[in-house]
Amino acid sequence: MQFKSFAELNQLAETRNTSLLDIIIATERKEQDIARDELIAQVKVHLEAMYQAIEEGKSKRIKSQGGLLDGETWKVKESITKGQQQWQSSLYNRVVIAALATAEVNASMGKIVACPTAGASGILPAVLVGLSEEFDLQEQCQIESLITAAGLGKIVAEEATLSGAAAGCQAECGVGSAMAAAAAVQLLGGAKEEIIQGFTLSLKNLLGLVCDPVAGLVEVPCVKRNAFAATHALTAAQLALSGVKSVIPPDEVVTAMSQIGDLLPPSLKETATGGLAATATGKNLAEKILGKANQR
Amino acid sequence: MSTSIMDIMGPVMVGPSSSHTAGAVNLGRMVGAISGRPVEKVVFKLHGSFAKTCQGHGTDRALLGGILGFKPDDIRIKEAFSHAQRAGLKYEFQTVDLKGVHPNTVIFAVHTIRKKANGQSTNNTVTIQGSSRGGGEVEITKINDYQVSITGHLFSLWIVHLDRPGILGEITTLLGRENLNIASLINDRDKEIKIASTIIKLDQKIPTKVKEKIKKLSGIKKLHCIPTLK
Repeated sequence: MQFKSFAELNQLAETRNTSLLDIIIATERKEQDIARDELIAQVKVHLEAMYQAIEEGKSKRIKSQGGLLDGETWKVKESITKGQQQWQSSLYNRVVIAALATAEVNASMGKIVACPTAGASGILPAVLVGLSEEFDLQEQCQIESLITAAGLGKIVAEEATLSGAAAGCQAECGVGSAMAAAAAVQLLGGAKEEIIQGFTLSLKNLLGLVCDPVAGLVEVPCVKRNAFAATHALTAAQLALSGVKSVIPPDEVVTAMSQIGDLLPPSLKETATGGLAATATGKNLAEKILGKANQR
Repeated sequence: MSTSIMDIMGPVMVGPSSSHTAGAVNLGRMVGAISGRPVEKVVFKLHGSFAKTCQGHGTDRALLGGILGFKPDDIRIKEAFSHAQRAGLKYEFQTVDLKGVHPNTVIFAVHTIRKKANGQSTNNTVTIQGSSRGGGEVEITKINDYQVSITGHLFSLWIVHLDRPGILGEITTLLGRENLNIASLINDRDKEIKIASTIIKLDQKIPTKVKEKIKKLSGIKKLHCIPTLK
């Protein structure tokens, strides 16, 4: 990889007097031997799939595959239609709905974009699509912000992990929220330093998030967490665009995430044996679901 | 090769889990390719986390969809049971407790019927074991009693042959003459029945004429080309 850290990426962009986006595209073209047009075309397919998942999730009341959730997006949408959520900004409402919609489509075996993972697939699309619809942003800008976000996510993937089984939910929803914040800052015209700060502030605040899904399914707490992590990204973007900086530099935050992941016990890393999964209700629900499965 | 940004913003897939759904589809796809399609009947024996959370993750539909040849982003996966019925594919799900394997492991007992040119048909059964290793990555670890390692990144040749001196040399010479580069070669054998199994991974797809030449070598019992998962 041409850049292994946020420091190197930033340095490259500074030296060549260009954007993070340009460095990320140049690196991808070199490493994957792909033409620029071809890369843009592929990203466009992923972006369109994000829109489709959101539309699907908004179009009907969805029951999750494991049966733990029933129409969460629908409830929020109804409430907004009834005018009960006018205290929230239109952007905030869009983002919450889009995040829930994608996560519910995922939980019901619908088609989503695992960006960065299936369990955290609602976060970045919600922020990206929410902002784009709210401010009528061009597709080219959306594609570019997706590329930058993925380039930053890749540093975490290569230097740490994106797997909940390896490092808990901080590596999935944490990184998803960080990528969403970076995309938001870029879409809103932030400088390269601010894009990296958005990513860092968001990830830093979700360090230590554990993966303790009830019955081992991508439903509880995952679906709602996507909505929380998406709005969390908006806060990170707001801070970054105001010039607020993480006291701990980005690469050290990634190191901390990795170390926390190693220190977390296996019961809190996707094994469904600790935390929420091990509560009385969590265990009861698991027994019901697994019991049903055994009777088949 | 380093990670592509497309892997960070993807893949596009049917949910809910890359290991329990997308990976299960990929395992089914590999197994369908190894046994040959159409498949008459499959018995799936699920181990560990695959057995426990199968229904909620749609692992059963995903495995079945993969056998039918669906890719991880195919929305038909959710309705794989009815697609299997329409295709005349019979299936059964069982649980199994294996030792020392990855938690997301499944054994497939695959039954196929091949019609020959003379109108007669042959029944074949192959047992294949594989694991979903996370992020949609999979590994086939066993075919019948032979240890293998097939991940679907490269084109693979699976050859069952007599365990006799020189046979590997003859096979690799044929490949070399056609300018087919070998990335890796794994060989395992059953000493008692003097039968060996060889997996050869190649950088390119193997042309049919080369396949036919290898089949004609003395002592070749079975030869299968296994495509990549792309």
